Amino acid sequence: MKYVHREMGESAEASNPGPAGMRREIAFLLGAAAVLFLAGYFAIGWTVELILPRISVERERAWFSGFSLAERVGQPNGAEETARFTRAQETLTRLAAQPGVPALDYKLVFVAEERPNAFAFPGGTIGITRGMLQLLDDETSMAFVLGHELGHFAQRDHLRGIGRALGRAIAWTILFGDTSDALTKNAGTLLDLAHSRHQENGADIFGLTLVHGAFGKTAGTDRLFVWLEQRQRQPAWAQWVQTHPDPGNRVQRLREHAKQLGAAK
Amino acid sequence: MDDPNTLETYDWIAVALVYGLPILGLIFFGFIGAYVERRHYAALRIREAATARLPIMTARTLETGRLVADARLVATEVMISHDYFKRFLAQLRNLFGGRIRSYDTLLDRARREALLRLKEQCPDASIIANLRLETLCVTTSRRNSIVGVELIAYGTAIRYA
Repeated sequence: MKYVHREMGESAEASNPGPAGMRREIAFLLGAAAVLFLAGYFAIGWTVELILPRISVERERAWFSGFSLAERVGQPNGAEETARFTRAQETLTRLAAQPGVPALDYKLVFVAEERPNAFAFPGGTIGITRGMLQLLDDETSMAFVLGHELGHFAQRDHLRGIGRALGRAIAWTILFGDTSDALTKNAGTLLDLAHSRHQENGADIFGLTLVHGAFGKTAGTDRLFVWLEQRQRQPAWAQWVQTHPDPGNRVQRLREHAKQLGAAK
Repeated sequence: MDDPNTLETYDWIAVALVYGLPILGLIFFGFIGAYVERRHYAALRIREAATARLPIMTARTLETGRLVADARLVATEVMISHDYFKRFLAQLRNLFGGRIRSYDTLLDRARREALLRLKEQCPDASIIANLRLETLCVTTSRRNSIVGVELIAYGTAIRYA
């Protein structure tokens, strides 16, 4: 038996897909992942929209009656802040009595944070920060902020957010188990932002209509956004990764809607 | 409102970290991995050409009628790791199924490297017979996350008188 060495040539590299093969592989996998991702995103969205109308306000109240914000909550400091907080509470009660506001147990909670901010929590809890109380010292502008949060409840954005997060978590766990990468874990959040911007605009309009209905005026409702706009100028691309619309655009939208409300009067 | 301030500077840093870092890692380590693989393949081809005269076969017995001067065990083990990008591609393959092309090269490189190491252990041998290849799992890790390809190769190096 004699050993004859033969050159294997290209067959020696049969297992190596080569640059062209790898490019095809990468293109296929990224394409398929994108399709899967979008399909999952819309499937979750549609499922949530399908379920939302079937959850009654009473059931929502029952679910979130035990909700509390223990760790973030502070107490208003000093007489001035307490007075403002009490005024805001009264405004909220007045707004909540307006038609179109879902019958939840609304509760205003003070959040000891310097950044002007307000939050809508499940079950009707609205958090308002110290910074917001300091910034908005008149009734109308505060009423608008509270009306905006009530708008989130009317649109059921908080339930929507919970539903989407739940759907994402389930889908991610099914697909990747618990060992998913940082990238896949957070990818869904970015897509949710556009949805959220739409919600914010809706809440703005709701808030404005509510203030108009309760106080009969809309002047001064845009104070927060004017302040925000003056405070920050940002490039257009930045809008893509934000949950909230550009303050300037919001002011413009509000003014247009206020005009319509005025005309309807 | 939730966050009327939109994004502040530190939020931007968070966004950049959360989305940017993994993508940057994929690109950075992907290119490094591709470079390392190209260099390994180039070295494999040169070394294979240099040792092409020494045959390897899997047969247990060979009747040549020639006198055997020396027969001994040669064994080696090779571990080759995937890079971050290859693992990302393999994870996607885990969903869709099919040939994990990004890992094909790992096994290919491990096998060829192992055979070369066997040959390089016995440059004076006439033939390596009874070659056996086995994959093993030395580096166990969490479920779903393998560390690389592990291969052990052994055979009998025979030198004729």
